Amino acid sequence: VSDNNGGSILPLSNRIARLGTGAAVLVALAMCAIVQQTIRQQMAAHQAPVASPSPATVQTTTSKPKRKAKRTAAASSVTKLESKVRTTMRTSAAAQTAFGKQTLGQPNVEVSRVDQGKGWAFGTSAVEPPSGTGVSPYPSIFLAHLTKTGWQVALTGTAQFTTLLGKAPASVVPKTEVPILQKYGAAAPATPPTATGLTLPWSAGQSWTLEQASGTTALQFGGGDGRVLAPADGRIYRLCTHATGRGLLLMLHSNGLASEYYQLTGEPKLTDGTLIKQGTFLGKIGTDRPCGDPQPSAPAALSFAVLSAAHPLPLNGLQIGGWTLHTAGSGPVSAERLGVSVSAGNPLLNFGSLATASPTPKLASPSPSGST
Amino acid sequence: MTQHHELTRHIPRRGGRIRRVLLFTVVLIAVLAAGTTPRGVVVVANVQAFLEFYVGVFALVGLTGIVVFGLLASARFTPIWMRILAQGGHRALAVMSMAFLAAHIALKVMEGHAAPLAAVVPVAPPLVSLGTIAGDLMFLVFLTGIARGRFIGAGRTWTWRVIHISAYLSWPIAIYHGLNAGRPAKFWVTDSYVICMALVAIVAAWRFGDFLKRRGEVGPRPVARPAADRSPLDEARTDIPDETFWSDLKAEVRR
Repeated sequence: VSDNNGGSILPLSNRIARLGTGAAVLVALAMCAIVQQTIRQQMAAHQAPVASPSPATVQTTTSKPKRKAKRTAAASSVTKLESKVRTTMRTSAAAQTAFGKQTLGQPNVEVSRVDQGKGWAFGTSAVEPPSGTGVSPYPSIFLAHLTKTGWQVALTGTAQFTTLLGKAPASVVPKTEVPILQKYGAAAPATPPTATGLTLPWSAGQSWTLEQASGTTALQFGGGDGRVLAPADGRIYRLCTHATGRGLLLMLHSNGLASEYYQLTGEPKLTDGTLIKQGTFLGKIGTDRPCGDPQPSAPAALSFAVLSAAHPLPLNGLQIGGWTLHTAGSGPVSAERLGVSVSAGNPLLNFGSLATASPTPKLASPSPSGST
Repeated sequence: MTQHHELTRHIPRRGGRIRRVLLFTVVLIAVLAAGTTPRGVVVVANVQAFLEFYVGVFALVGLTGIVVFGLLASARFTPIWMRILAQGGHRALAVMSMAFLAAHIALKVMEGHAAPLAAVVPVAPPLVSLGTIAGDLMFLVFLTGIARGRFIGAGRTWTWRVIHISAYLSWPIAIYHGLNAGRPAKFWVTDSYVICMALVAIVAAWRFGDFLKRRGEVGPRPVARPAADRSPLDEARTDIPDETFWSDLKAEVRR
């Protein structure tokens, strides 16, 4: 197109037509990059997960093992402890609130550490929601002390838990775990926090489907490479089962919040209380619900919830990975970020820690918990 | 030196194309390389999320624009200059929308929302299949648009018109697909499309009426007339419908 075409309209028309080709080329470039990214992600998904080498076993410390008879008595006392924890769990206000005072199922109890000599125990418990609701189980951590009247059991989120935490020996609650447990168990603030400081629990740059989850506290995520990663630093606790690769995970973060992961498979072996870094592999999404729900949930997904002061946080207004969640009443959940709204059933992009407005919470002590 | 410059100016087509292909390859390699950096991963993911959310919308808005501009370019009541511009817009949007449509289909298939076969054959659930049908028609219309010259020159204008006019079928199907297959549409989006469809229907009906009225008067367009040695005024024959337009167009080109 030369300049001597002056007043003609035709060159302009041609130029407009060429704009179309330009836009098409840009789209083609973007699609090439996207296809490349998808291939890279699929290749990454086939790589083996990084597992922590520490075995998951119930740590039993016997301070003064004297006689066999005493040990048998101790075993029966653990059974009594479990029974007591179940009762406490079923009648706990937090669990009742979580499931709207419906009839609760049989809670799971996993005794993690016992000091039989001193009569202390530490462990986790979870109660599955009424069958068919598809909500995440209610997770809790307990501390128990054997007195003359029997086991005194305290669950996180109660004043009694804080009291017992102050007295518990290091064999049951290592000093490194005390601050985070204390913070998680502290009394709930008047208005529940909305800024979680968490990223989305998968690789940055991937879009996972925000699945429709029933209830107003749990989210379901699926798709992507299926590898669930820790959304922030924190200490990990296992619930429902210590069987290899299964179980509900509860992660306590230094800002006082906890995040819950359910339906995972292929979990690495993690000892209760282990400090793990953001991005650590937690397991792959699945359908396994080992806390007592006989019905596997399909399709494979991660059931995810955030808790504060031992109460599941309502999704409405919650901020995760730069997204703000919205639920209209008990309606479907949607995520919103900078004016873009993603409704249930649609892909949600993980912007990684770039998106988190507040810095990722860092823990005071970087050393993993040891047992004595 | 001047001579060399003169000469190179005369072989611009091939050289230009090679340069463009080279440029594209270089940019593509750069983009792919940048996509492997951590920052690039997030950017690409952002772009993907954006395209996934909007590219279908762009394709539909583009298709709407194609129909409107196409109608403007062929309507008799539009001034010549506007018809030429509309023609440019029509072509630009056509190429653009095909790219958007391709990206839309590729992304939906990649994310497992539709089977690869459903991209071509309507085997998916009905609302998605409507998109397939509309897309196929759009592609057919696009092909006839590219090969327009072959149809006109060989006296097969009617074949061309009938195929190209199936855009009027593709467009409403695409709108129905777009408004119902994905996320729920906002009221103003639905309303805009409805208003647009109503306006297009009115203009198209007008055009069709105009065509019916003149059908008796119109003969086949003379093919391959030697026009170079004639003056533009000579060509302005009133008995051929497009003649004013074409003679003006030729005058424009010559200027």
